[in-house]
Order: sequence, then C-alpha cells, then structure tokens
Amino acid sequence: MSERYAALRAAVSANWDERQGIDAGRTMLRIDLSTSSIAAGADHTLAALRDAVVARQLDCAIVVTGTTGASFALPTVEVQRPGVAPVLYGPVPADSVGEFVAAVVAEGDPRARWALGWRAHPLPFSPDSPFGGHVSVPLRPEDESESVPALADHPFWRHQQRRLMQWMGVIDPESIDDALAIGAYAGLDRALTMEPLAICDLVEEAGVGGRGGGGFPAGRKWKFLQGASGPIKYMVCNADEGDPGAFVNRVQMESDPHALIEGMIIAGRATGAGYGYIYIRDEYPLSIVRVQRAIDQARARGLLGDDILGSGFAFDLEITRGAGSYVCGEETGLIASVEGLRGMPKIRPPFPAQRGVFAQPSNVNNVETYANVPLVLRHGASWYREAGVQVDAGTKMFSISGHLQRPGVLEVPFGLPLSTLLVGAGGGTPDGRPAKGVQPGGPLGGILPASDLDLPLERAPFSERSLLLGSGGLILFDDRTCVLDLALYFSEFCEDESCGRCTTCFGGGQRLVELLARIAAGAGREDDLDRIGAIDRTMQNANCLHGQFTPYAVRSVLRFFREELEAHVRERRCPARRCHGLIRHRISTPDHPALSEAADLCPTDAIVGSLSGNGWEIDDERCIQCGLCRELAPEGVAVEDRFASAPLPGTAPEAVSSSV
Amino acid sequence: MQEELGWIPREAMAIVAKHLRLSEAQVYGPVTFYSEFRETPLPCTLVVWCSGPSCRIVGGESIKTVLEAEFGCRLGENGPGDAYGLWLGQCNGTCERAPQVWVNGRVVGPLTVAEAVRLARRIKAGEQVVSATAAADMPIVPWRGAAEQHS
Repeated sequence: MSERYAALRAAVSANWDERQGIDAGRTMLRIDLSTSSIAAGADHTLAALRDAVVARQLDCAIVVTGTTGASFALPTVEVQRPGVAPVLYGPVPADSVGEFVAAVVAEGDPRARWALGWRAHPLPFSPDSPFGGHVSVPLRPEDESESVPALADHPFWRHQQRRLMQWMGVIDPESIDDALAIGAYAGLDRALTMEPLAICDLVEEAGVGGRGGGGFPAGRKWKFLQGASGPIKYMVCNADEGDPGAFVNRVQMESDPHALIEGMIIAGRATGAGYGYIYIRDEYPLSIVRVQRAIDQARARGLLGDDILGSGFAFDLEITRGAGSYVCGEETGLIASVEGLRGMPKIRPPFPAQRGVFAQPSNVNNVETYANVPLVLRHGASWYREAGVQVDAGTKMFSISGHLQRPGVLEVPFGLPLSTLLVGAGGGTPDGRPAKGVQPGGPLGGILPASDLDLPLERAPFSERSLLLGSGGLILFDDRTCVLDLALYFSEFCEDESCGRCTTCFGGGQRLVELLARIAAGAGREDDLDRIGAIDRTMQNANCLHGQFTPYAVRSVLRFFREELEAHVRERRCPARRCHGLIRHRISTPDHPALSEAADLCPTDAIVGSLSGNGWEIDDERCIQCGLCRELAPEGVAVEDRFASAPLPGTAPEAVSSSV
Repeated sequence: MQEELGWIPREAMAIVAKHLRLSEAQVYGPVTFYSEFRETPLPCTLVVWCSGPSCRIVGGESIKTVLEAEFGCRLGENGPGDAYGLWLGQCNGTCERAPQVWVNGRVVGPLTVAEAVRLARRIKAGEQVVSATAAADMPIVPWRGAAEQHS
C-alpha cells in the first residue's frame, strides 16, 4: 500500500466504527434516498424522521444512503441499535413515521410490522489485508430466537451475491470517507504499482465482460487502446442507460459512485488515457449530482488530477450530460454526442480505439463494467471467476419489474435460471396469474415466452434465440398482456429513436410500425406476417446495431407467439383483449350503481343514459376504450371482441372468400 | 438556454447560431434531435407521461388516452395559456410505481384510469396536486423551476 493511500485510509478508518454506530452507543437510522425512493416519498419520510427524533429527544444519527435495491418496499429505513445487527424496515411512509419511531427506536421492538429482516453488517475492508477482502465479523441480532428473520433468508436477498451492491444502502454515496473506509481506491492503489499491460492482462484473465450487453472482454478492448499510438487518449463511460425498464446503472451511480470513478482511473492507467468522460442521461438528475460530488471529492483527495497518489500518473474526469436520445447508447453515437454533435452512430471500423472522441483513440465501457474493475484489482482474477460461468464471469446486476410482486434491483452470479430471479426473488406475477413471457434487454432485446423461464442468465442461450440478455432490465408480463401490443410498442420506440442516417433503419422501422399498427387496428392483411419477415431481412443491412436489432421484438413474437398474431390478422381478434381497435366495451348491467360515477368521469362522455331511465349504455362513436368504466364497475361492463359477432365485409379473409 | 428558460424558442436558435458561428441548421439539428431540448415553453403544471414498457403492460396507454382527452391536447403539447402541458417521458426506472406520470418532476403512481382523470381535472381547476420537497437538503429538487417560470 502506498504511503499516500495508507494515510487517506487511516484518516477515515479510525472513526469508521463511530460513524457506523458500531461502538458509539447511538442508534443509527439509515434512509434510502434515491430516485425510486423519492418517488415513494422518502424525502417526506426523512423530514418526518428528523422531526420525530428531535421531538422525542432520541440519541440517533440519521444517515442518507443509496438504495438497497428493494424497490418493492420503499421507502426503506434501516435501524441499527448499539452493538446489534441492523434491521431493515419498509415501506415506511411519512405518515407512519411517528408510530415507527415510537415502536422501533424508542421502545426498541425490532419485530415491528415493517420489518424485512436483519442484515449482517460486515466490518470494513481491513487495512492489514490490502487485497484480501473484507474481514467479516458481522454484528449479530440481540436474541436470535426472538428476533426478526435474517435478510439473507428473505426471498429477495436469498439468491443474491452482492459484490457491487455489498455496500449499497449502507454507505453515504455523497461521502468519500465512507467509500474509502470500505476499501474504495485500494484497487487503484494496486494498479499504480503495476505495468499498464499487466492490468489489461489481469482484467482479461478475470473475464470481465462488457456489461452493456455485448460481453466483449474489457481487458482485450483496453489492449486495443493501449496499443494505439497518439499522445492523447480518452476513456469514456456509457451511462446513457437508455433501455426503458433497465435501471441498474442508475442504482450504481446513486448508491456507490466511487466504484465507477475508480474503475475509470484504473482503465486510464492501463491504457495510457489521461482524460475521461462520463456520459449520463439527462433523465437521471440525481446520478449526475452524486457522480459530480464524487468526482470533486476524489480530486480534493488527490485521487484525480496531475499526480494521483504521488505516482506521477495524471487522469481527470468530467460528466457529459445526455439530452435524451436512445442511439447515444451506441458507442459511436455516444462519441458523437460527447463531441457536441447529433448522436448519430457511424460505421465501424474505424473503431473507437483507433479514432474515437475528437478523433483520438478512445475506449467506451458501461458503468457496471468499470465498477467491476476495482474488485478484480483488489481480490484477484481467480476470486472474480468464482462467481458466474466460464464465458460470463462474475456477477450481474438486474432490474426486475412488470407484473411482479417484488420489483427491484438485485445482483446475482451469471448462469442462474431466469425463474430464480423473477419467481424466486421477484415473487412471480401478482394474484397468481399465469406468466406469459419475459422481456429482457430493452427494446432491441426481443420477447421470451414463459416456457423458457428456466433459461440460465448468460448471453449464449439468449443469442441462440435471437434475443439479447442486454444491460440488465428484465420485465415479466402475465396473460393480460398482448404480445402484438408489445411488439408495436418496441417498434414505435425504435422507429422514434432511429438517428435517421440510414434509410434501411428509419424507413424500415416506419414501415414495421405501420404494419403492426394496421394489424392492431383490425385492418391486418393475410400476407402482413410475410411482409414483416421481409422488412426484418432488409433491416439486417442497417449500418449500426440499432437498425439491425429493431425487428428483434417482432421477430421473437412471430417465432414464439405466432398463433396470437395470426388471431389478430385472420380473426381480427385480440386474445388478451388489449388492442383498442379490436375490442369494445359494453354495459352488461345497465343499472349497476358504480356506473353513475363512471359516467361522470368518462373523459369523452361516452356513457349515456341515466340510472332512473332505461339505465346506462355506451356510445360506441365516442368511446376511446380506455377501460375506466370497467375499472370502476367490473361486474357492470364487459369487454368483447369488436369484430366477433359481425365481421365487417371486405377485410376479413372469410368475408372476402365468401363474397367473391 | 434549456437550463435557464426551460425551452429553446425558434428565434433563439438564430442568435445562438450567430454566437457560435454556425449555420442556423447546425443548431436546429441537435435541438430537434435530442428530446430533452424542448421546443415548447414549460407549462405551469407539467405532466410527463412515462412511455416505458413496465407502464405499458399495466395500462399506461389508457392513462395517456384519458389524459389527452381530458386536457384536450396531444402528447407533447401545452394546454391554453401554457397552464398545463402533457409531454412524453422516457423510463426513469421507478417501474414499481407503474403506470405513472411525473407532475412537475414528482412521480405520481401507480395510477388507475379513474385516478388519472381525477388528477387531470384537478390540474385543470388550477389545484396544486403535488407537494414541494420536504427535506431542505434534498440532493435534487423534483423540478427545475416550472412554477417559478410563471411566478
């Protein structure tokens, strides 16, 4: 350990126990303040907690942390009484804080109704074993027989192997002291003593793959840049995370930003790059704030700048804010955007390692890729490979959502079955409805049927099915979902986000949307499914992956859910009764009491009549099929197939054949 | 300019182009390419409808349909006098609260269709529908000054 780093560590390690409330005799309250928890009102919970602690004159420290990943229980509060393992509670909304503080903090009943489980609180990274890992002598619950269950036994946590997420929800993401105390920058300290090529070798040996979805070995990618000539090289971090439904990078940046920064400095050291850009999408304002604070703090401690830890190595970082464009997640598009241009992808080669940002050799990796690097430097390649499978080493963070009981973000080793994550940890669909499929990997990732729910989470089985495992978003959906509607949704998204450079992509996408929208509106034609296949083949000639992958969603629907698509075309019927053009709402109980309210709220005044007269009915001309009346009066309103009873002449295949 | 004004008026593009010694088209291009550069002024109450897939599968499309019908404007437009607006938003990963909208930057959800209609009617009536930030030291404010623009 270098002298400079040892000094930094000593300064913060000394009072770790005190700051974490382990010996201090104070109760620690840790509150998750992240984008998801603020959406759940965590800022109000925080204010109420402060008021309650002051009002009751309790000796408590309130610490703001990132997220534990348990989105289903937000806002969460963790309570750690002196010398006892912390217990996580949630959801704790602001209006129950008074009761919560009285029961849990003042009276000290850990089993209060909000309890999720106790967490083993490991001691920080030991200064005596610089690369050995954490010394784990966790705090135990006071009396295990009477205590709450362990968080490690909770279904959401049971399958997790938290490496990147180990300290998320524990440390204050806006404090570099906390980060240093848990061992941040120890990997950098080691890297500074190594030859650049040796760092690339180590990362390659560990098998760190690109976490954006490509899985390309990071160490090998770095060697391209290492071997590139030129005095100026750039390190770029892709924090655009444009895939809707994926939010693992956001959690990383909001909960432990220093891991990303450390990874980028190490990558800079390994490749000879002296400057880095972190490209963060504008939809993540809290990530921008927290990463910026982390950069400023790192610079103030001499971890960024001209002479990092006295080694003579110079590296600095800045944030580039995205402005709302999906293709900027493609590396050449991202580079164009960093340069201040329209984020239009370019044809590779030249690869970024030859000609990247400002025409200088550059390297682009995902947030999670960089965040894994310090772990490799700290614990070694063989430790890293202990998790995961041969081709996909290590762990992966996933965000799970959709028709799911326990949505959230978790970290598991590669190779675990999809069902373990979605059913085991996520609790499967609510109300026990049958699962219909999974959408992995964002709009370009395709759609997987429920029969493939046992697929292992690694890249190969997904690519065999023309799907992408992608960057970590997994969306489970049940039988209420229409796959044509999903295909239309993803095609619309891709068409809208096409950069517009090649006609194959923007024209093909447009045509695809037209066809799908036509089918969804009940005007599908017999050969439309063949036409979709032809567009798919054509789009494989697009210049970048955006165009090539755009048809993946509809291709997978054609492959796995063909019958359902054919029902839309041939019978003009939506089996899930979702496509607005193929359904109609009909009043089945004209004197249902809830219909008065429905008539009042109906945004297009389509519910006409009165309760006193002949009862209510729906004016089909005005109805926009929003489903409000059925939501308010499920027994009073029926949804039926619009074309089932009386197929319109001319368009339905049967009608055509009979009239000819 | 986006930061200060909340939008980029067409006339401003000419001025920016002049300052940066670019053609007007070279400014217009990026502004219209990136969706977070807005060409519509920030309304008093901004309702951003989340277009994410998790919202979609739990009925987000119906939320959009009723909001458009209630507000009398299409997605991306403002209502009369810029009192309110209905814009499109990209998934911010708070999918556990789907289907949702963001009213002046604060997530409101999960919404039923009826709740969406009631929300729209309250906004049309000029009611304050979301609370301000509770903790003074919050790392981010929910919205960068939509209301301040009009005060």
